[in-house]
Amino acid sequence: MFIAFLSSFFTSCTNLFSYSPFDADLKTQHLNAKSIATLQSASVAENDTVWFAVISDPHNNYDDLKDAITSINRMEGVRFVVCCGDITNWGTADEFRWYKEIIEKSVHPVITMIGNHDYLSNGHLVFQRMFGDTNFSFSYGGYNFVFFDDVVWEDNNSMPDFDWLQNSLSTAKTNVLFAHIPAWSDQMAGVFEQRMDSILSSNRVVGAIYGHDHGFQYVAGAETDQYAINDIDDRCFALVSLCDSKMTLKMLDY
Amino acid sequence: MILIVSLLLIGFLCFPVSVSAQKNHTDYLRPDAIEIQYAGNYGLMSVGLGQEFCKDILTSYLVLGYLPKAVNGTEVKTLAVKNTVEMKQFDFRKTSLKFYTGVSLIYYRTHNTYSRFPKYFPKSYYDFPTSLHAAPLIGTSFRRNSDKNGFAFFSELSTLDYYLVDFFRNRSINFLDLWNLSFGMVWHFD
Repeated sequence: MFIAFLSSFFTSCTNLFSYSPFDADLKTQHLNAKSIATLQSASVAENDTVWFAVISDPHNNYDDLKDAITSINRMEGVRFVVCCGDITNWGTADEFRWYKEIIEKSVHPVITMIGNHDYLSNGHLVFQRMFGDTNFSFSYGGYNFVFFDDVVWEDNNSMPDFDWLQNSLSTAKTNVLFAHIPAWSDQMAGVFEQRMDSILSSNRVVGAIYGHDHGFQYVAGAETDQYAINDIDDRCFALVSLCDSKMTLKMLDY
Repeated sequence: MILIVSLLLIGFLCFPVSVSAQKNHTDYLRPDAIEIQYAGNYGLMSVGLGQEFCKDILTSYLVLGYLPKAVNGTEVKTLAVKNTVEMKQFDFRKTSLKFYTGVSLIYYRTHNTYSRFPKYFPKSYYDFPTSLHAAPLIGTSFRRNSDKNGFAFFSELSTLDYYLVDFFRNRSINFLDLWNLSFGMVWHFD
């Protein structure tokens, strides 16, 4: 029996030798840059409505994530998928690999941002090797999509790079913001929340979408509507449309 | 850190105490084997000092492992107690092939991995320490019967508590993906 197990193991195992669950045994892959390049290679007119899907906090719910991707794959008109972070529970390289194996089945480009759980152990390094920078932005359909890494506690209790956020938002006419932790939630509440509000109000941001809190929340603003969306475990995802510089978001069950 | 190291040492000391009826107290704590291992959950290389009990059916090792930053981009130090129990032994003329199973209790020291989270985290923000883990294993060892004080060679498949939890939560995870292979050598000096 042991011999049979061993032979199956040799033929099917992806990582034969592993030195530690906490190592960063990954080659640089630039998955986000590749997804953005794929997305931008498809033409879109300035006045077209841009549809995209947002999922968040899959953690170790791989079956639910797989079902979400399958469901989004069936939707026509969706241009890309965003995952708002916490793609692992403990930041181990194997958890990142299992997430990657599932999103590779998406017919749409998937853009992944970092969450606080992904920072644990050497997760920050693994994320950078697999996906690229944790603060990044790209333009598509006349909008500037900004992904802001606002993890505080798991990043050694350090301040998010608000200067980068201000610069990124101020260079574009119309922005959509993604961050893992809502501006009003635990790690951001207080001084950082005020800084975030100040930046949002001084730039043209049509909507901000967050994860982290594992439930739906909506905060209407004079300039910016802010949403925290459900986690994958709730078996729903957000379908978002951008039209005439206006963002609408609807949660769909799958 | 002190608490974790204490727990590991207690685990190492208590396992032999509970099974060492045949050994007198002067033998207790005197190691009779040194192992060196490549890969597994302990690092690039690890060394262990241990004892065999109950006619070599049970073994217990205190293991130190190290993964240098130059190998996979990050440094990981480990301190572990590895306990195994023999499942079956086959003797062929002057050699024996042993199959065994066991579990290691491993303390990891690396970046952003905690036995107690810093004070800026609210209480119970994370339910478990991220630095302490149980790692089940199955293995096989090959040894010449005549070499009471000689060498044995072994290979092991091991996994981690995290991965077993993920496997039982998800149908889509391949069971074989949970395991990794390692091999090593033991020097017995009874």
